[in-house]
Amino acid sequence: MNYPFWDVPLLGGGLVIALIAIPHVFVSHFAIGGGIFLAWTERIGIRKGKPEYIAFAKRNTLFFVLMTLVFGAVTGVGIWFSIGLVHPDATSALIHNFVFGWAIEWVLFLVEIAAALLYYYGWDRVDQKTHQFIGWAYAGAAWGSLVVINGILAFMLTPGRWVETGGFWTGFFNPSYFPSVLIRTCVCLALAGLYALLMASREPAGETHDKLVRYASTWLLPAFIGLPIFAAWFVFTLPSLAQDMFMGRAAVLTIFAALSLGISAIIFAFAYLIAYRNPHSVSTPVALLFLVLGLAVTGVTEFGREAARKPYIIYDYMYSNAVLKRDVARLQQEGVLRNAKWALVSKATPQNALIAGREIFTLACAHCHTVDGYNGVRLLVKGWPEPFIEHQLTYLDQLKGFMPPFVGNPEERRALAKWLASLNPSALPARTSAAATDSLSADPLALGEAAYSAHCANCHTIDGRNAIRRHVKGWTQSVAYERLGRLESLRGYMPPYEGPEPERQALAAWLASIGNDAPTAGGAR
Amino acid sequence: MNEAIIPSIDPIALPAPVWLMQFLSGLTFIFHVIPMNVVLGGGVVALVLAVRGTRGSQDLYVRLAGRMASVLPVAIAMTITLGVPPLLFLQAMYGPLFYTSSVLMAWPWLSVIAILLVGYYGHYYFSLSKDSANPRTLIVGAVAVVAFLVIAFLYVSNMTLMVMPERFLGIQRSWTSGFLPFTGDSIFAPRFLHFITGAVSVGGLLAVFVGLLERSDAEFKAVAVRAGGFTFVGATIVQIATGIWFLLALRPRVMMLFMGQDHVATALFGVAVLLALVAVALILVAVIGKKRPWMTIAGTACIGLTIIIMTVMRSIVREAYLGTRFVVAEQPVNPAWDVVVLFLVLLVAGAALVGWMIHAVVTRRGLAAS
Repeated sequence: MNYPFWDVPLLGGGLVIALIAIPHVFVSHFAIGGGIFLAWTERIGIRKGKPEYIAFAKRNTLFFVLMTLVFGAVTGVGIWFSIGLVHPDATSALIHNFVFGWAIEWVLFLVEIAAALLYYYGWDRVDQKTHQFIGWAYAGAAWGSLVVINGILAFMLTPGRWVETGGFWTGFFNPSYFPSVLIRTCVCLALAGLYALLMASREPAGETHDKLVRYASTWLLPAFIGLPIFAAWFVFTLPSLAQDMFMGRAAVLTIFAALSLGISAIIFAFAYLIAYRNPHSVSTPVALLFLVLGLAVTGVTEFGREAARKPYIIYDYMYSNAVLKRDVARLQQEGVLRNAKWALVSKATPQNALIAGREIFTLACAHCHTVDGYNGVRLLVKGWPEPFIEHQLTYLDQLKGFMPPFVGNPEERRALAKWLASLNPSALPARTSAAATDSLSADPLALGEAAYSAHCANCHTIDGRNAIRRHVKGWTQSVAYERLGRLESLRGYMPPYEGPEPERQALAAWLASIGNDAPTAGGAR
Repeated sequence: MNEAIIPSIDPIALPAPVWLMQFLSGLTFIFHVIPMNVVLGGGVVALVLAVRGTRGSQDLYVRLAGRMASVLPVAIAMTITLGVPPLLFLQAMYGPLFYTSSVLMAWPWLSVIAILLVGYYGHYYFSLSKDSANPRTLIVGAVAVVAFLVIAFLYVSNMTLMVMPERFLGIQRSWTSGFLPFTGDSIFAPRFLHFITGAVSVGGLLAVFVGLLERSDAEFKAVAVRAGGFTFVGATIVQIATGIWFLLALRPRVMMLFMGQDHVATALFGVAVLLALVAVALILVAVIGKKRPWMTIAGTACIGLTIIIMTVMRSIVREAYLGTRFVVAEQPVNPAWDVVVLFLVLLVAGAALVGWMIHAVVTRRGLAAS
């Protein structure tokens, strides 16, 4: 609310960052691994008198240099541009804390770029010893830039004691710093190996082809051994909410984690069983496929790592919507509109509720949600009556752990609920039990079940997660009827029941019926 | 809508004094603008020479264009790499202004990245092409040149908007917010033209140096020095004219700083104009006369000094436009000297390492020789 908001329709700002960042992460890891790969391969060629290794390193230099210099550098600057546009507050916080960290990374990048160019131009100009030195300067500076930027990236997920104490080094050497740097190093080597496999696969069939393919496949070994250990260490350092999200609390994240593990396992199996054991069978399309799988695993892992930070953008300091954690209580009293510099209105009233609601959406929600596109809120609230939306907003962070608390005051919450409800005007009657009454009035239990679908099923299932059958076990119809009248006092986060009298009777009857029934197979509706 | 809304400064204090960050920002900016001018102006001059050479069957122009183009990819790498720290320090010190102006022209600003990729690969193609007169090479070269001109346009747009916070709210409330670059101020056109003509001057100097470094072909050497020298002189004269237009387009109170109201600003302005004129005279003599290398180096040194002075003047204009609405020096500072010193030590060590490696490759004298 400090900065004007950049509205990216359909995609949302987060996806814009991802579209630039994921290729950058892939290419930059790949380029860092490439630096080490070139220097090491040249070294083996010199030490063991294998000219084919030196020739192989020389042939692949231009590609790595162009990748680093052009695509890596430009997309790296691109991430900066995009985060500044989508999250100016968070970017500002990071830069204020780490500006000299970035400056140090830049020095290493400068050396990397210069050394990469000189390594390329130096193949036929300088002696082997000097060329090796330049190669190691390239590799060292490239890896050094990773060591530095990793501190800032890991900081966003696990700032640790920095939140209380502040300070550069506390934030830099944060809890997940070391496992992250080890994971990233393994990934760099593995990606360079996958690329080398592709290049080796293009050699004419024969001894050199097989030798180079086998050599390239050994570059995946550090990742094969190291990644499971370092990944476990990394998960251990995460905040418990993030751990829970990986372990099933957020289904998408669990799927992403599983994909990451699964694809990695396939790549390693390929590297060992095919590339190492049967190098002659590695053709270019197969090697290309595995390089693409490498890109895929980078994508899902980075996406998962970013998502694990929710509801924060800088953990325990700033929420995804740029609200500082320490400001939440104040904003819930004062309201967000009063504190928003660029909003059209400064207060929510019944008269301006729709305009105010739209503005509050921009301030509090639009950093993660679009209206109609990615994570689109129109579909998310489809069928939700206004009181239910307001209730969800009231307990947003408790109901959905990966969302921040709603930061407006009660008037603003009502205005936002009204605006959100207005997004689906035609859907509203279909979800109300009043409509159901007409068709189901002949069967009170069916009417009760329809009422359950309308009022309860957003949070409850019958026998699965948050099972209603367990909650109402042993209830009679009169007990159910009585408790429906005071739901909010039973559990602070439950909304009051606001349906009409006949529907309440029917719902009570239905609850009593399931409370005294045995669970049905597949009843997790 | 003339109310100036400026976001609050970040609650985290700056980790170094503002003067130090201003100095580092200015220093790295100077190292950034030199290769940037080579890319922008060198590209324009090389393209014009290639087109003229192709049309008039003047092979030497085509050859000169090819030689100039071969410098461009490395110059782009240097421009990008050396552009990182000024942008970093700018964000640290002027975040509330810079992020706001960027968001208000978000799509054009983000498009810089895509345009840069096109220009970068385009110049690689232009420079690696064996035949600079080939129509395809010329078209790709033209696309790359236009790409860098557009980037310059967008940078001038954003850097101009960020010092005019009184424009922010009006743009934010307009339906074009985020979609159009900012051009709606009388200083935009002269500022843009002033920088473009300056870049073309530097492009001319690049041609002169390509000529001076030629050892075997005297005819090529003469053509390169002549073409480059006259391009430099012509572009610098136009640049001085656009500079006067730029000065007159400034807000009167800012303009008056350079017209006697502020002694330092006035002196800097006078010296910069004088140095530019001296450079024109020296290069003219170098083109016409015989003492070419010495005169050219002296002329180039004058241009280098002018760029340094212009960098200082640029920051005077910025502070004057912002006035009391955003006083950069009044931000909270909590120095982290250990990190600052680590950066400075690494910078010196890194520069020394790069210098040694360049020396080794250029002179072909490496570790084995020593």
